[in-house]
Amino acid sequence: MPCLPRLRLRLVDNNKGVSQAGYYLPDATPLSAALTFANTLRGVLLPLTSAALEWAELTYDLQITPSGPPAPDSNTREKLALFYSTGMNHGSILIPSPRNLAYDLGGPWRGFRLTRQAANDAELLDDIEAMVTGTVFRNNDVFPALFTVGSLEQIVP
Amino acid sequence: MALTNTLAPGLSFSLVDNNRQPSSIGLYLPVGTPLADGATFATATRGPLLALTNARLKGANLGYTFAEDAPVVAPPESEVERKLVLVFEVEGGRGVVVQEVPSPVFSIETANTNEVDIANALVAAYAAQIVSGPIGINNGAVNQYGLQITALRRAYVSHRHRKSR
Repeated sequence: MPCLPRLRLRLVDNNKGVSQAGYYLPDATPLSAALTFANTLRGVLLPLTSAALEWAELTYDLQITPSGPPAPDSNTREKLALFYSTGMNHGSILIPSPRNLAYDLGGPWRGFRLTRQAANDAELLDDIEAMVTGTVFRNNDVFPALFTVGSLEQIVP
Repeated sequence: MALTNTLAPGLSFSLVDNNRQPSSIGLYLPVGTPLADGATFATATRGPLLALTNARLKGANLGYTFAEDAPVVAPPESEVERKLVLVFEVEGGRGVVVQEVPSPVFSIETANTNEVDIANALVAAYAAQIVSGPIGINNGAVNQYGLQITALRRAYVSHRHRKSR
């Protein structure tokens, strides 16, 4: 099955009911052409529905090499939570099924916190920073090129 | 009024563990990040991510959100559980595509039947866009296998919580 771009339109009614209309677009449709299609579709959809259009989302699958098989003890319900700060805002990223590398950082199993200074694991912190560099919040505050990982927290559901 | 791109694109990695339990990681990239740059970032992130997780990385996708710049309040009669169901034909007669339009306007309905006339101006205009929208030449939407949607075959109204007439 080809990895086709997908268009979703989100509509809401007067009772806050939410529904989505979804479409597949031809392979390799450029973003600009997809946006043109979405806006043209909007023009013929709105006269046909009494729901309100909130947003459209275009999703592209990326060409990325899958990894090997999961480890026997892997468990995606366990998360490594990375808390970060931009100086203006803060947020978190959850990494499913963290490796033992993360567990070996010390502290009790449930709910330990690890400061950047206490981590003493430059390689892990480099990995984390490399992963989150360049991300932004929804409110469009752009991260600095390299920001500080405030703390790490192991979460066990 | 239009859909405009003012939000940060969302990058998502999908993973699965040894018990086939799926999970994902969500990040945001700077507003205006081109698709190619998003792919480069995802590829560069793959190594550091795999150093942190022992789950299997299955893939990644990038989503661009376009917000309605002049949102309106839906009228009281709107109800997304009511659907206009559109059955489209696919090129070569290879199956159909079923799409739903939530909360269709009442003016397209006909008394005592759930069927909707596919020649109705509003329905026909929407169907024409799906079939011949401006992606390439005479190319609109496709099915999940990339086959062109060619024509509207049937239209009717349904409700998830009510019986058909």
